[in-house]
Amino acid sequence: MLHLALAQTSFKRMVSYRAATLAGLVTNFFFGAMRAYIFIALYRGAGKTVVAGYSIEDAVTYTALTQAAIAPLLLFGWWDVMRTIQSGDIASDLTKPIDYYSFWLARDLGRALHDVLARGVPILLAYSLVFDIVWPGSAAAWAGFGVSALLALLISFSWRFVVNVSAFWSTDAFGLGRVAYMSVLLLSGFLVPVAFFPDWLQGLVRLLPFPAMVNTPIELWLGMLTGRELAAALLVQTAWVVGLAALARFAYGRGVARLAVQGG
Amino acid sequence: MSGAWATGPPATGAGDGLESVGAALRRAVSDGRSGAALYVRLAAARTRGQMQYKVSFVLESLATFIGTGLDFVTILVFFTRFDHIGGWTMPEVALLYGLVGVSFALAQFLGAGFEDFEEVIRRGTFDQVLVKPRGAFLQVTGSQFPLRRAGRLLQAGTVLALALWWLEVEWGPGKWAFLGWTVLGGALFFMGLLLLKAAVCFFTVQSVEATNVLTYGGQEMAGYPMHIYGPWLRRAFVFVVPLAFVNYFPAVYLLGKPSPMGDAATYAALAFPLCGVVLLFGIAAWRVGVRHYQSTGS
Repeated sequence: MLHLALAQTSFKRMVSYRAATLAGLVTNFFFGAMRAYIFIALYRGAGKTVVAGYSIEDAVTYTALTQAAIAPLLLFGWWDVMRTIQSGDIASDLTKPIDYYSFWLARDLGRALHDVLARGVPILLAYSLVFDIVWPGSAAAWAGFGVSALLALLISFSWRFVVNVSAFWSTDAFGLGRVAYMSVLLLSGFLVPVAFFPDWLQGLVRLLPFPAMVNTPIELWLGMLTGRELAAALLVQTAWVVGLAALARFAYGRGVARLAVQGG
Repeated sequence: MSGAWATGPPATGAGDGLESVGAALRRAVSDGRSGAALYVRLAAARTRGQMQYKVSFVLESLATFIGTGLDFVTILVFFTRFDHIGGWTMPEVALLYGLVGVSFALAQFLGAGFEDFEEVIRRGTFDQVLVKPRGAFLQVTGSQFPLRRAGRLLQAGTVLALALWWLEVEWGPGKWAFLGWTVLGGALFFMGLLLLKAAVCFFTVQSVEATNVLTYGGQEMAGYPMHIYGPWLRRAFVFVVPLAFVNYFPAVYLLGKPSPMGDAATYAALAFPLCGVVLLFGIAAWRVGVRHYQSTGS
């Protein structure tokens, strides 16, 4: 119940930043419209209807979903844990009788729920006013997407947590983190769908956890995965959820053992 | 970036015949010279400061290089699936991208203090700027010299050079000069936007995230030929914020692409003056902002 309370507080805290939410929405939608027009121009110019399995509507919907995912998945970066490590505030968190990883996870889930409702859904609605976008075709498709999106969020959280706890080892973790977050924008299929990549790059990124963070839920939404493929995709996501959570906890355990907080 | 734009002590004896105009001019020139000297000293000091943290500097530059390079990687991935974008080939799009990228990077180098001006307002440290015997403009310009942004300049410059190489241009000196002129104009344009962004902070205290739509968004958008965008987006960036004049119309002229409206040479000639207007607008907004400054009281 403690975790539920943490998630609720985190949710409420986000609700109070209304101006920031609105500004973020405007920005995300503007960039989204730009990306959609680029795809439309590419398809029309080439006179093609389907490219790499994506129809023109699929491609536009892909830009809508990726823009809607920026806030819930914090794709441009998240530094909260790193800041507490660097400032030494982590000392007070460590005195709390609660598991550190799940403490932050609960807060992140509360925040993410807010961002799905206040940043994700409105983007999709705004898109549907300006562009033709695709919606999941059945209740099963919605359910599949929902599960996949939740797994994606868990993967994203553990990954961000790992990036943050690198601050236990290096005072330059901020620069390192920026390199990491930036690279993931490409590797997750945020900038371009993974299916558009040249084969060698596709082969490479499929070995990494990042497509499971962005690309997989989108392919489910677009109905590109069915039957065994769908099951396999969800299984891969689950494996990454478990693997990255284990890595996050391990890294944190090693890091906190060498923590030195000065002053106080 | 001279002290002439600074909102320093008011000019003395303004409008007192020819002699005072001459005196004012001489003073402006000497202010400009000492201002430039001061800026160089500040920049050198900030460079030494950043070099104390070499690993951090390398990582930050790398992040900037990757971050901006990703836009171009996106373009490259598109061109593995498509032959052209709106009738423009890959080297032509690369030219667009390189032009706007170099312009933006130059503006960010000089205007970093304005880009991150929100902090100054929120912490109330602008009070300290105002009590110093130098113009606010010069001080804010000299407050930052973000070496890591060299990553952006390097990346955009590389793309521009590659584009010119791929295009195998055979230009006379006129077109080469026009190329340099265009890059400079674009830098003025983005400098104007950064000033505008800073000026807004005087009134809102917070930085308005939406102004990033103009700077970063504009930069990214201008990396593609402007005619591919929907009508509302296109009109906004021709008539409201003249982004299309930063690189699109000049590139149409340089490459001899079909002009979407009117005579390409005319639009290309209009580019630099219009970018200058954006800078003047930014300077005017900045001056209004400084005059309306109310400390946050901290």
